[in-house]
Amino acid sequence: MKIKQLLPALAALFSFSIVALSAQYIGLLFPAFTVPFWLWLILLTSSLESAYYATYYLNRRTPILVRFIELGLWLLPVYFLCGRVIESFLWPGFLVLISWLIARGYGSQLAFMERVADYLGDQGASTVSWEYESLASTDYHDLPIKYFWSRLYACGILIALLAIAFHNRGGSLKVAEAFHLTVLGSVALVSGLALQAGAYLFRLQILWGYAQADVSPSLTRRWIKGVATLLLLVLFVVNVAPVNYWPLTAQRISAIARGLLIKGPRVSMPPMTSQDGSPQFEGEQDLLFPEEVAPGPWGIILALSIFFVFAGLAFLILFVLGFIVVHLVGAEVERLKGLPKLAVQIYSGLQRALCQLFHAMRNARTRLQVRGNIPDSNAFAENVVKRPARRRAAAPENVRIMLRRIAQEAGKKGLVFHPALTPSEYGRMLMDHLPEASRVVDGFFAGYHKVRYSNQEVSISEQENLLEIGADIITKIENLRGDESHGKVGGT
Amino acid sequence: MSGGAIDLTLWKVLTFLFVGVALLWETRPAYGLAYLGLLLFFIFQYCQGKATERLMVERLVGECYLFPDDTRSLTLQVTNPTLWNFAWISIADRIPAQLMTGKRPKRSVFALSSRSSQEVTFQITARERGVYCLGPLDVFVGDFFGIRTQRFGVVQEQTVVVFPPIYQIADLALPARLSFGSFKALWRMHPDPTRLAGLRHYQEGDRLRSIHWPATARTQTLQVKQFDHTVTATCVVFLDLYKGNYAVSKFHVGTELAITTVASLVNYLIQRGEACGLVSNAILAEYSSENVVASHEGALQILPRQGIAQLTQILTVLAGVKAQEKKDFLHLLTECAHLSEGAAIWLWVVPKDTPELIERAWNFVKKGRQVLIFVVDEVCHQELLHSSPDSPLQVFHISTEGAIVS
Amino acid sequence: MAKLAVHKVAEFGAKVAGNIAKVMVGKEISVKMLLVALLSDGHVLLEDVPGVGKTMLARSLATSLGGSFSRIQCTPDLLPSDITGLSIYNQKHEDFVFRQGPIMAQVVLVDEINRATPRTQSSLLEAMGEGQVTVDGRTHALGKPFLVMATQNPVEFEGTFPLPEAQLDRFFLMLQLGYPSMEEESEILLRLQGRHPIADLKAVSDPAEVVAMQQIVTEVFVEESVRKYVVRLVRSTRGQSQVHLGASPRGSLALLRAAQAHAALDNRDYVTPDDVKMMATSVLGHRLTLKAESALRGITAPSIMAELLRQVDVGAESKDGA
Repeated sequence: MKIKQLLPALAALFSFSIVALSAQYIGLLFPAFTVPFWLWLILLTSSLESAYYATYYLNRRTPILVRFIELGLWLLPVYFLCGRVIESFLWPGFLVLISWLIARGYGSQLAFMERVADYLGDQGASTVSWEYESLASTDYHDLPIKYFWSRLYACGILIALLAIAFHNRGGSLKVAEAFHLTVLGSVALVSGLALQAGAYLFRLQILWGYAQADVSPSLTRRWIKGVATLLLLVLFVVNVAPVNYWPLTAQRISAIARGLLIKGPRVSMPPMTSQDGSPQFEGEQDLLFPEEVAPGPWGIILALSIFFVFAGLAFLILFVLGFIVVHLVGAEVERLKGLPKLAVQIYSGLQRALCQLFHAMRNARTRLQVRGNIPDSNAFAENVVKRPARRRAAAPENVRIMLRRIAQEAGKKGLVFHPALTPSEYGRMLMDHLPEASRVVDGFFAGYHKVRYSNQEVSISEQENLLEIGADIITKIENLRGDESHGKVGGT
Repeated sequence: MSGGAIDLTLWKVLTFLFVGVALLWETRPAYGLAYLGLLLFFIFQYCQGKATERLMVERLVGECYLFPDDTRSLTLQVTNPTLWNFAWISIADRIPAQLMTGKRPKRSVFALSSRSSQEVTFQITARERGVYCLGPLDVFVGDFFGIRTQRFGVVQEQTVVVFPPIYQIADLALPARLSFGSFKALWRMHPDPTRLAGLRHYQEGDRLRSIHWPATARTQTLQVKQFDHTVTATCVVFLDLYKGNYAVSKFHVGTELAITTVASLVNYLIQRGEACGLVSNAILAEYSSENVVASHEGALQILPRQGIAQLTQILTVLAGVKAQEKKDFLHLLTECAHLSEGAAIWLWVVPKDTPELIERAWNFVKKGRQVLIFVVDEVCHQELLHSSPDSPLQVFHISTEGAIVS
Repeated sequence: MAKLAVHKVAEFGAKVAGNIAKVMVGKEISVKMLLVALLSDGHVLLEDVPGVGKTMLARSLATSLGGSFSRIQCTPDLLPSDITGLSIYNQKHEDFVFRQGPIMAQVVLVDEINRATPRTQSSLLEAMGEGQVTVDGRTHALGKPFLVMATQNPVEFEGTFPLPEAQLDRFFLMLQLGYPSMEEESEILLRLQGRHPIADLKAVSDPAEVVAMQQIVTEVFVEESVRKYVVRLVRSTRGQSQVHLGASPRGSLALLRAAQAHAALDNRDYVTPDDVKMMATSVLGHRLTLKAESALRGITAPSIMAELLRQVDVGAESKDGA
């Protein structure tokens, strides 16, 4: 899948989440502007349509009438769903229009990025530094990357202003509302940054294409992996990092200023007022546990459940942190200390446990398959049971077939058994990629050599053992992940 | 190192603003914006900057020797010793046009994860003789979000020597075997114990191991073996690259043919096991390593030696020579004749066999040397073209026909 | 073939290598290669600079084998008779008596062989090939085992007579000892502070045992695909564009025998393609005659062999590999 195909979807998701989040805050500030739930679906689909249409089909020669018809097709259902009441339609219609327009803007920019050579000129593309110049230059109709950053931060500022306004009005959030806002905010952040990174990659790919650069095939995959890691880190920091540690907030400064103006230079803490206006400490009532109310069994279960939920959440946070740390620091995890180390241990432990479970299941399945398949291919089982004389002749072939199967499976993972490699060289190559199974691999290839190259007879039990080891190796190869940290980029 | 995709200073200032807003109005979105700015514009940029400083780029191949039309892959190794993951690194080698494969320099782009290395391969094609210098390397490093692109040059130079083409001497319209006529051995050589010349009576001081025992037994007097002396023909090739001696219209063709002729002759002589040297009034190109050549009085001189190492040295020098307009060939002969006293055979590669040149050649012949003159342009003394193979002065005309000069 | 016999070869190799290791620091691979040549009844050409331990290696091997050792320093005035021996007139008995040359030892170190004249080289190499010398019409058989270790300096060219290709082919394998590592050199200094360890070196074998081991090596099993691989590898050297002359059928024989010896030293009674690969560069490298252009491009025989080993089909699990 090309990155360009994904970008409009991200743009649409970002447009939708920003508009939805703004609408949510405005709804909280002004209850009259509450949006119905069905509108969200229309916001999302209209954004998707707008982004993809603008990316792939829209151009300067598209008649304005077509654009109006396209917008009308989205506004008309909203009008009908609002009961054809114009007052009810205005706000949802406006939101749909905004979402549609933001998505359209992104789509147009993606289309514009592809025409970069039209603006920079072919002559520029023939110079060595063209790539750099085009990245570093600041003119040419508002560079796309700047466009994306500006939109991202403008949207962020809008949401922050709405949140501050809501906070200053002393509004309180229900759990469901807070959850809604957190989810929408996270979606906006992730989609916005992913769109930013994706658009940048898309732009680079276009530039590299013009410069005829030799781009490593694994770059896009690594890019996605790297961006995912960074996004998790950003998401973690933005959602978990403290937000109330600074003593001099606007509220306190204004309180101090008021105090200075009214009572003189005595500094006092801002009063925490209750509903009736009398000063009291917040949470005072919650902290007092009524003694006469004994916790019943349901209370204990509830307390335990809360404990497990929180423990699970902490575990999950540590797992995510572990994932981020492992992917950021790579092979240097053993140098870590404290919380990062704990997080890495939890991540690795859980990953290992899951892998082992998975391996055990796959192993059992593969053994069953191998035992079932090999005799079918060369009548091995039949020989073993009925014709012991032929058994010896056919058995070594099974070990060789097993090596071919290993090579076939490993070949799918990129570990090709080149004809110029000896079996033991191939074995060493497998051992490098399966360090945990090096003894098993070594054992198999030692046995294989004896079967293949010596003139001595190998016992049936030894051969069966080799087949089992081979099946084990196949399972391990199937679970292998590629490591391309020492790859090659070929250029001509 | 500088440069960037966006105005980083502006965004850093904005981040300070966001931080201020977040601290004053404690809400999660405001703090989120501030944290995002701090991460993206400060922490990530700082880490990437530090990692870029420690990025190592090195060439895996040392000096590279090629013949025209040869193609060679050159490998660079980029190593990231830090924990930072580079989103993308783009690297290009500055390759001279005479070595470029394709129309433009090739750029390789790859991602580089922490504590890993990447090999990048470039291909060069030798087009014409010369000593070239590759590099510096042009490197771009960027992040995931297009915040900053860093560009820097890495001074990792590499010398590529493109030898002049070598032909079989028959392809130069020369006899398939050059025969050197009779000449004096200027230096007394050691007796060759494998070339038994005869026996003589024992004299005081003779070594015991040279006594011929069977003959001694037969004659009842001590007989000593007598050996022939070993004679090795030492050759020096003189190359005339004085601009004034070449016709203007054929200057490039003539000089290249002369250089090719010298390369082919040296190759032929070295393959025959002769000791061969070079003297020329040419100048060396900018990148040529002058320490390989004993430069004397403005002339290039390589003393006669045998072996493939000598051939490599002479061809390396020939790869980098250029014509000059200060020192005439006759001056060169006057000044450098004494430096090549030991050489028995002189091979002169010149554009024309002028009467002065022939007269000078006769003078050397009289001193016991053999002079072979290879004319690349115009032969004035046709009678010498058909002289006997035993003659100490011979003239050969190098033909421009065939594949030598296109 | 009994497995016990191969076991004996491995034991022999281990004890000789262990004994040599008392004198030679590092160089385990070179010692193993030397043992391969010895067990294959071949001769070794050592191309290396002076002072890296060539003489010490030869002397320690000779002492370990309990055989005789001699050294020939080649110079341009060295005569064939200085190597093979000569008939000297004995005035007392009024008769010619044959005085043995240094070639009659069991381990012979021929130092700087390329300084000897072609005629002397030729007579030496003929003696190596035939295992006998003829002086004044009488044939004298050389000892068993018989191992010649010839050295040549790759740096110097002046005043030398490079060995012709045909003569190079007579050497079973070519080795380069190379300089020791920093730790090894430090260890050498430590060991040689006092008395030289070669003086205390004792024989751990005897010539008869070596001959028996040579016999066992010839019986190591070679599977057909391995034999085909040897042939493919040797034939591939002949079609190379950088090579003027490839390896001869004598090269195929040598490679197969070397692989057998290598397998036996590894306590295996069968040869694997790894044995062939391990020995290919040492056995075939010096048998390739490179084109002058290849040498100028910096291409060497080991680099060509390395490339061939990366290209030639081993035939392990290919369809025609069986």
